[in-house]
Amino acid sequence: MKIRITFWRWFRSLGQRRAVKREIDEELRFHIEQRMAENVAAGLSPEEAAREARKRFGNLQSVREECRDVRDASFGEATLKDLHFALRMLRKNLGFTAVAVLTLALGIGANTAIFSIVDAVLLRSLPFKEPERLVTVWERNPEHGYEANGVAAANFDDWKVQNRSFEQMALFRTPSKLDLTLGDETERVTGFAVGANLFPLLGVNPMLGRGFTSDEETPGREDVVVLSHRLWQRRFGGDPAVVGKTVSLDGRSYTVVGVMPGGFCFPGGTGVLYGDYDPAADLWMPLAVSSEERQNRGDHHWKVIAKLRPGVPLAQARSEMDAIQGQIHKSYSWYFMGTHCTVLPLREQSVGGVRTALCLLLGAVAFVLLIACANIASLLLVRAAARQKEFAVRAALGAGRGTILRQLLVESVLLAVLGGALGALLAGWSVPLLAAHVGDSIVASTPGWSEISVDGRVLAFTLVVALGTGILFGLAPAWQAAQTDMNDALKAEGRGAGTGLRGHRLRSGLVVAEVALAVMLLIGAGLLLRSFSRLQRVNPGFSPAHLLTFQLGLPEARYPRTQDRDAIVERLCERLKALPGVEFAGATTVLPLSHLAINNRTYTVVGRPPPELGQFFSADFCFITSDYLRAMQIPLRAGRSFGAGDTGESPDVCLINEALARRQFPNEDPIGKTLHLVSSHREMEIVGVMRDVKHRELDSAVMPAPMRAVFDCAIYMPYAQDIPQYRDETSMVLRTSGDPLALAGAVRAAVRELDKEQPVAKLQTMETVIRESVAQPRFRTVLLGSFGVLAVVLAAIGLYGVLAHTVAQRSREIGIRMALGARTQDVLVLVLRQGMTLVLIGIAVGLAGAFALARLLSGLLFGVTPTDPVTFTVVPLLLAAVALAACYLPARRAARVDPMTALRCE
Amino acid sequence: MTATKAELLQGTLDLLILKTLNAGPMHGYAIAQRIQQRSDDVLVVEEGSLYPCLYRMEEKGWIAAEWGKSDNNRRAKYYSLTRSGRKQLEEETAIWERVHRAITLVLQTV
Repeated sequence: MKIRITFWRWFRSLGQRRAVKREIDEELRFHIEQRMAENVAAGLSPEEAAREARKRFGNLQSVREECRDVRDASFGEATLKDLHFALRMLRKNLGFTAVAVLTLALGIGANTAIFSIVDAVLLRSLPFKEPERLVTVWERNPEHGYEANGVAAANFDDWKVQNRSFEQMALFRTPSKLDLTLGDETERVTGFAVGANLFPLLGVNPMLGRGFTSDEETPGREDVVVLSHRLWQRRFGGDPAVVGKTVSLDGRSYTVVGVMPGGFCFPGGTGVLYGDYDPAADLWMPLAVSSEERQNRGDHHWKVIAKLRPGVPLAQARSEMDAIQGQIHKSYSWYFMGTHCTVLPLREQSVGGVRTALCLLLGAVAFVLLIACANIASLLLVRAAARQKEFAVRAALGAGRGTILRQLLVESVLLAVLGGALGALLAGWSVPLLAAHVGDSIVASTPGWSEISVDGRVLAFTLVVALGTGILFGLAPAWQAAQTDMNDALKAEGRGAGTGLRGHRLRSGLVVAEVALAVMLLIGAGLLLRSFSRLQRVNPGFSPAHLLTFQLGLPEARYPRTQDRDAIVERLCERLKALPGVEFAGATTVLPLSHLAINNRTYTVVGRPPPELGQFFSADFCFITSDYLRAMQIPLRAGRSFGAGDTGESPDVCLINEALARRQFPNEDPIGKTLHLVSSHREMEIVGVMRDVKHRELDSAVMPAPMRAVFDCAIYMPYAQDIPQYRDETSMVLRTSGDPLALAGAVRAAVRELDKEQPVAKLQTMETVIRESVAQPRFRTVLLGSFGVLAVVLAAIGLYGVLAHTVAQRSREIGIRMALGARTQDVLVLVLRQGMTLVLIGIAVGLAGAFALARLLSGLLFGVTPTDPVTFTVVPLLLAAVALAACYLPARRAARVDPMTALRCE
Repeated sequence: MTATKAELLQGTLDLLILKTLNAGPMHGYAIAQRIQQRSDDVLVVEEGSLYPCLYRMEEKGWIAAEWGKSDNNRRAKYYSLTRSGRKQLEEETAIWERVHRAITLVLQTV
């Protein structure tokens, strides 16, 4: 209460010096004039009256100053005085100051760094107009096990006409990789085909030129393009006259009609592709939907973003869309389509995946900071104990309790602000490093990631944290000082100024809390570490070592026919295989774990009754050359692989994976059976069964179970038997005998020789591809692990500090014990027992806390339960071992106490 | 409480002010006048030390200040006793009486 009043006055007075001065002057003038009036009334002349009054009052100036000093001593200038004093105290104890500031800098720096990420990713609003009204809409079919599938064009048209919930709905497509040719330079860029109303729906206007017109949504008229700010800067040097120029994309020419403002890269980084990788757009094209496509209800390759009408609640939109889609499904139940709809707020969708991890990290750094606070509170308590005499003397000289409390708080807040400043520097230096080195997949797929920086907002957060921290850890010693009886403190002189039982208990409590927090953090880190190592040990189904991969565009404009594409790929494979150091070279349309789009299509087994109405089988489709399996070292389980005889002219054949074999042919031999491809009316004979390969994620548990069943099955067809509408990005894989990257130059040269306009994109080792695919779990594991280590180190320092101080204090007692016959190891045990008791209590509390909190982690774990017995055993043991070491040093010092010195010391 | 000479003197002025304000709020000039009148002009408050003393007491929370109108309708700062001031008054009165008795006793012996 008292502290609050004092603080309040102190705070309020910062700008009140002048007012105080005026008040004093007015009060004194009133007094003198009152006296004058009385003098006049007593019969003196006005001049005499004034003179007498002034004389009687004494030295007006010095009274004025004295009054002001009284005020200042507790208000206004006290800040400066206190600060000055605090600085002197901190300078006098450089060692203490350095330890405290460094500890705080680590704690506050970590908080600042994580907050800067949270701020950019979770708190900033999306760069669209009224983003809270934006949603994505999907078809949902719980029976088939999917929650959010793309919409069929005909269904979308029905939605658009029938709904009353949305102001606008826009279609767009999954990304296309395009060869952009400018002059004689070609590069792969990411383009999105979007509805003409997409930009207006998002409320973002082109900064140059215009967007698309509905006219341009007609096939044949879609040869216009809008550039992203980034591409405009990079390839066109920010040329304002770019509008109207012609560029070549995949060999076709397009006219530039506009440039979007900086930072706009929809759908990049918004997560709207739901689970798919959504890269930043380099350019946009109009979405031209042909009249056949407009009739289609089975091809679900369209994405929908919509804007709710003002005031329409999400639930209402959801039930309306469910009703509409239910009706559509009833009328066309023979199509593979959703029975319901999923309506997802954009914000929720865009951060869904990262939110848990970021909240976890934010919690972790808060723990680290709390431990740092406990440490410094503990140090300050020791110092406060040593300074009790100083306080007592000052109290005797007239300093109020409030003055001393304020002084202590100013000292701790000053420490915290110094720590905060250093922490902000640390964060400013580490955040860009951190943000840039997490792997491309995080940078590109996390909304707002590119905006991460330690800016004003973040610094304001840092300042608040620093001030809060200063007050938090300053309270303990201040409270203790307030509890001390000054007389006792003065009298206790010479006996090492007893810190008192209370201070000791407080510090013991702090140690227990530190150990408990460290245990919780370390268990969290341990769980993530164990699940990450499990993840890394997942067999992807092929052997990733010594594999070099890259992507080829092979645009339709230059390779219009399957044969053309097949021919160049075949020639390229031969040429690459001939390179020294290359054992096998293969091509595939699905590079595992590369987050490229994968075609998942429905099929039936020929000769079997068709599946029940509304039942569908689907599998991932992949076209591979004959050497692909050998290059990847994917084992064949049965039958044969593709050979030179499997060409575009020969009968269609396919390989299936074990999952498909298990699903369709559990008790029979799949070889020789025929599969029918529903949407292309092709039939192909199964010639072999190959091992399952992880195509999408190493951790297939990230997908809901029914979804997993859908995505587990895969069908492989010869590259030469390509089906145009199933075409995906072609990737090459080379099995090398040495360092794969050493071949980079030779590979580029080989491609250029065959087609000098063909860019080589994403030339990297397979190990890099895999590393990128687990970038997110790695990121959180590494960070949480570092915070865990930091926590343990801080807790150990805290423990050491408390014990070292106790030993110093008890040296006399220990001396007496030894003089009375206690042996060295008795003393050792005495101190160790004291320390380890605290540690064990802390571990027990921490285990209980971790047990309660670990379930929050379950979504981030792979192959480990939240109550993993190994983690819950190893962490306490590890911590106990570290703690024992921290206790041992002071204990040994205690054991070496020379009884004579200790006793004489007094 | 062992009081030094300086504290005793200062404390005495505190006591006198507290006692005077016990009658009700008044401004600094009135306090000085009242003390002088009550002591039959024996105790003339040194005006130069009155105000710093008032400010100190305000800091300690014994008295509270408020601007108001004086009898002749001028703005003046009025002081009044707070609860802690009242307690302080009781304590200091008790101490004063004890010291006074003790000094009297000493003076009466011989």
